[in-house]
Amino acid sequence: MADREKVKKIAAYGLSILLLTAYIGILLNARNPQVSLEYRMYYIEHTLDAWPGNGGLLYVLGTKEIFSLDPREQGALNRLAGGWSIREESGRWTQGNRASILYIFPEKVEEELILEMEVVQYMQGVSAEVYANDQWIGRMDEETGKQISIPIPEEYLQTDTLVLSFHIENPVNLAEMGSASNDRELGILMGSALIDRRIP
Amino acid sequence: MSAKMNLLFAESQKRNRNIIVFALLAVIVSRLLFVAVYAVFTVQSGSEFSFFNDLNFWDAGWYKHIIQNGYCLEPFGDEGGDAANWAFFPLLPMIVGFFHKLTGLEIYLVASTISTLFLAALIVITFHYIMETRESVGEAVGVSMVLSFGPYSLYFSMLYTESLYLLLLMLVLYFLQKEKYLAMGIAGALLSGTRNTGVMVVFAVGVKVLADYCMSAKEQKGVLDFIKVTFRNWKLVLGVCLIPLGLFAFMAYLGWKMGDPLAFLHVQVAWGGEIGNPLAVLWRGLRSSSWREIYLAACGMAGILIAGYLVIQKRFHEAVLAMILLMIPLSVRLQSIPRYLIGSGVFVLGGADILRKLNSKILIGLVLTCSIVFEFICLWYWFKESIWMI
Repeated sequence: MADREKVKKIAAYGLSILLLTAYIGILLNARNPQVSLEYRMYYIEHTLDAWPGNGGLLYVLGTKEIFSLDPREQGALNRLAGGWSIREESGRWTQGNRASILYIFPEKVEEELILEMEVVQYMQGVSAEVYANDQWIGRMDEETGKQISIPIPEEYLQTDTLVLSFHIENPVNLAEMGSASNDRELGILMGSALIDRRIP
Repeated sequence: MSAKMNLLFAESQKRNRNIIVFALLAVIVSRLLFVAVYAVFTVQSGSEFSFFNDLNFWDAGWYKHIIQNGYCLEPFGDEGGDAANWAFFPLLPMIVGFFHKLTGLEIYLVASTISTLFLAALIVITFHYIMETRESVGEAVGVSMVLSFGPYSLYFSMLYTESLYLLLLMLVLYFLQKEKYLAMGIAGALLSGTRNTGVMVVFAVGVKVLADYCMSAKEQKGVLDFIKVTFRNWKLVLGVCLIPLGLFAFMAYLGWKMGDPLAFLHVQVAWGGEIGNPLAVLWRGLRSSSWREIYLAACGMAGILIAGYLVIQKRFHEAVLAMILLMIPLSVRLQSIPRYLIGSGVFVLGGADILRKLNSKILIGLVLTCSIVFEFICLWYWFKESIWMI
């Protein structure tokens, strides 16, 4: 009888250790989820504004993506990675001091590209420094106009990922302009963007 | 009345039978009243009589999807297309799915029937738990009435986890009270596979074991002695280790299926809301201009007061459980707080304790009557798919 009790005890402690080990294993596994980049960015890191779907960040060079309420806008909507206001009829405003767009190419890019953008409107006195993978590539403001064309040097690419960042200077607070219920800090109303190979 | 009630449930030989009969009667009568309210609703609104379909919507749709399709690899729900059915835990859809396949009956009919049976079992086990911990037939009857006729009781008869979750929670508390730790562990494992907050019951177990040690030990020997005494109890050790099994089994499944064991947690982003200070959420609600927000915040406040009363009553494990189960949803938003209060059990117990302490038959009668009337209002608004019922 005492032996049976002893066996039960050993089995219980053994099972408890087994369970705890399994729990720890599952927790360790949870630290490194095997998921798509889109999943990681949207659900785990919260760095995307909208769920693009698995593979939804893929960009085919030469595709013009529209930022407005246009139904074709989905591509641009997917890859916005923070710093953008709501969609409007003609485009989308940058909001705050930094706005980003993320492009994933089907393969590593090893050539110079060109970024072409259509700006709908600049808030008064606003300008933006444009960065590709944290490297400065150009500037945009009233003087550079609304049709922007900025080369992206090959050495700033070298991977299948491109993060375009717009560092906005002097965004305008709508509350300061008299909009009592609206304190968004807007900069540039972006109409569309396109990245393509640079034809020499 | 009180003496008759005591007599009915006092005799230990007949007590079990009487409690079961009482639970079945309460459930049958209350559910017949549901149907009656629904019948009036259909006449008034001119809609088609489809009780089980009109009773089961919102989250019920997610569970139905799991039963029909299993867990999906891709999110598909809501406006942003980012919601997914892996936010919902598997035990309830597994049970309903099993009986749906077995009987071939419509999913919502099976789900409502099973959930209602769980409610009957819940009343039986809650009755026993109150008799064990409070030794009050009146309180046991009152709580049973609230569970079957009271506000938000409708959630106990649909494809929502409420009745299964609360049944398992009460089983854990009951077996913990009776020191049947292996049974407690098994109920806990099922509980943690029912809803994401289920695993939190492990803290209540810890607090109860500690409180019992502090109260029973004639000579306090300190932390080391407590650990030694606790770990020497192999049934307790295994029981506690079993509790998270449901949660971790689901995590392992999600890891295998889609590469992210915490997918159930990560997908919460689809329902919005950042995790923040629960008291700030409560305060914002109380100062809101929306009556709904004020009502939800007031319910949250009532929850905190009840948890405080449980502390005063030295029911520390119930108080800890109450605070955890309140603070988790409150840290995100006020939505669904009344449902969580009723569906967590411990708040109903604490509220009943307060009423018993006040010892006013008029007040108790008033509260029970208001509860029943409130449930009819809840039902009406539920059938109208009112946002107040979310």
